[in-house]
Amino acid sequence: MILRVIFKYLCVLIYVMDDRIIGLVGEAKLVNSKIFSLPRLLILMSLENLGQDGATFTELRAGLDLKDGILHSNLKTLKEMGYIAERKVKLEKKTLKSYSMTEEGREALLTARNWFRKWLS
Amino acid sequence: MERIEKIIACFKEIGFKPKVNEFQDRLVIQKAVCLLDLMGLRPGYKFSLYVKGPYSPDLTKDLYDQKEAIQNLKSRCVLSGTEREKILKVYDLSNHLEPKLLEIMATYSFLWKKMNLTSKEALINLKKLKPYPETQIAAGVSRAKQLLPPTEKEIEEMKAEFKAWEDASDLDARYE
Repeated sequence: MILRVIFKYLCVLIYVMDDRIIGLVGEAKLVNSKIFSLPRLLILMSLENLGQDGATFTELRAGLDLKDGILHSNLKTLKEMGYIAERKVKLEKKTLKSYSMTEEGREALLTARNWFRKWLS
Repeated sequence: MERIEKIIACFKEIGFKPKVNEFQDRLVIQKAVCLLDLMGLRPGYKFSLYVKGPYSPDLTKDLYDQKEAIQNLKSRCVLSGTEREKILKVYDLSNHLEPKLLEIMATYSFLWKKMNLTSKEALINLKKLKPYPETQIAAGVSRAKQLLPPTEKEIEEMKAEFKAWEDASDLDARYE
């Protein structure tokens, strides 16, 4: 009797899990897989709360502890994806490149974050 | 509106007329307000540590929302004597709001006073976040310490930190 109840419970659990897994796979199509690289996620998360001010190349390199080449190539990719915007700013008479997150980038990060949360739970 | 009026009153006191659209002026405002907050002026903005160092998104929002009032220094707030002293001290010690010096002063002070790191840990983290030349870092840290004098507890920690060096120097002197 007890075994039968456990078996039924397991069947229901597997059925529910299957449903959730199928759901997760379906939702994964909404997530841009190009976002899933550690430097890209770090860059987007760093810029998330900085609004229009964004951060300069030097600030991102120092704050994220990334090498010049890695940071440069990932910034370029994110820019091409339309997730970040680049502009020139002046600081103590020097021209610097500053990066800020676009609305598209914000939405992509939110989608990826929500999908991750569901996947982990 | 009330909190930004206090900030405007501070700028009025030192005759700083910021241009909100300029990156450098926004940076100066962020760092100066952070220092004033650490000095106990409590303008009401929450600062957190980002790749830029201490930064308040709420302050940036208010800067854009109240752009005209800020640029024309319109404020009904009257500063008290101590508040006036505080902004004048920030203005003098930062060489009249020099951006890089303010960045170093605010980042170091934030790490030291707000994140409760020891002065040594704060310095290590400051150098990581703001990889500026040693001379600039030293000047900024020294100005920050003049702005926010260490507490008794911090003085004891510093004494313990430098004890090994002092002992070594005493030993050296004995053998000279």
